[in-house]
Amino acid sequence: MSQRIEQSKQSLAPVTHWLIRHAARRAPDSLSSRLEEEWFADLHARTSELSGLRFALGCVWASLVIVNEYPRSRVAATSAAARGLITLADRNFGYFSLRSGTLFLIAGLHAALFYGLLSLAQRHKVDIEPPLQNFPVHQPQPPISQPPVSSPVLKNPNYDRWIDKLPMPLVQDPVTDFPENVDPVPAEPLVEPAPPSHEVRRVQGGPGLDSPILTSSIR
Amino acid sequence: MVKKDGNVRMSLQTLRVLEIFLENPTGQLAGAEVHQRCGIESGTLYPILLRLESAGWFVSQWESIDPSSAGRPRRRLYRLTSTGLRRASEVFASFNRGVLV
Repeated sequence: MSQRIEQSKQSLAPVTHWLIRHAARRAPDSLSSRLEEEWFADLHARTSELSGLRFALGCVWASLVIVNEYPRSRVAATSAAARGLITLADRNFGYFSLRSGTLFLIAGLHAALFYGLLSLAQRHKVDIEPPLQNFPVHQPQPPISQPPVSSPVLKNPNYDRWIDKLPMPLVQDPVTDFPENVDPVPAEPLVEPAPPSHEVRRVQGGPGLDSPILTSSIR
Repeated sequence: MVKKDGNVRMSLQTLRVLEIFLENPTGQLAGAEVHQRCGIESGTLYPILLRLESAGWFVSQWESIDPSSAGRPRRRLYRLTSTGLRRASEVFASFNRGVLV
């Protein structure tokens, strides 16, 4: 495991050197050789290979920033590829800086994308049905004549012959299957109520004359 | 970015670099030493150093050593100029007054 780490660290050195040379070549010609020597000297101060790789990546970014900040007249590329990159990075958008121009470019691309999506959505618009409206029916459809339903014809509906052959015994209905030989309950003779012991004299619409209410109020 | 009047756009990283140099205004520092002191990465540090040099705040020169005897390559050393010292002092003084020059 440690051998692999050591091998990977050793393999980072060529990448780091290539990145620094590449970044220095991107820089303006007047600074290219100086920056390459300066960056290699500062790379020597780095302790680890990973730190050196990070330093080299930073140099690549630094060269882009330096090219962008230096005037175009002072920029002289050393190769055609670098010239194209420098021209792109050093492009001036009139009154705007490169950062502002990039911002407007991205915003414009987003606006164009949204406009395209909206126009595409309008082109494939789904027709929505109008709301429900009441209107008279000029020619009502005649009722559909259905074929007559034939009544069931039961031939020889003799169910009683099957009753004796049913496996379950018949349950007697206590209402209909009342036994016939039942002794009648002897009815008690009607007794007339006994007449009251005192004479009741009632006045229509009020209590009787012998009512205790009247007798107490008179007293 | 260096303005036409020699002013430099002041960012937090630029102020940190100036602060490192103001600790010893006559001293010379390489980019690696500035990185060790303030921790600014190379992608930000070298544009700042070149920006300040273009504005006349810094001067740079190669280290006067013999690489073979020293066992390492010569470094590029940066030093504050008198203009840079004055302007950097003004910038930090303006922070004390609450006004950025």
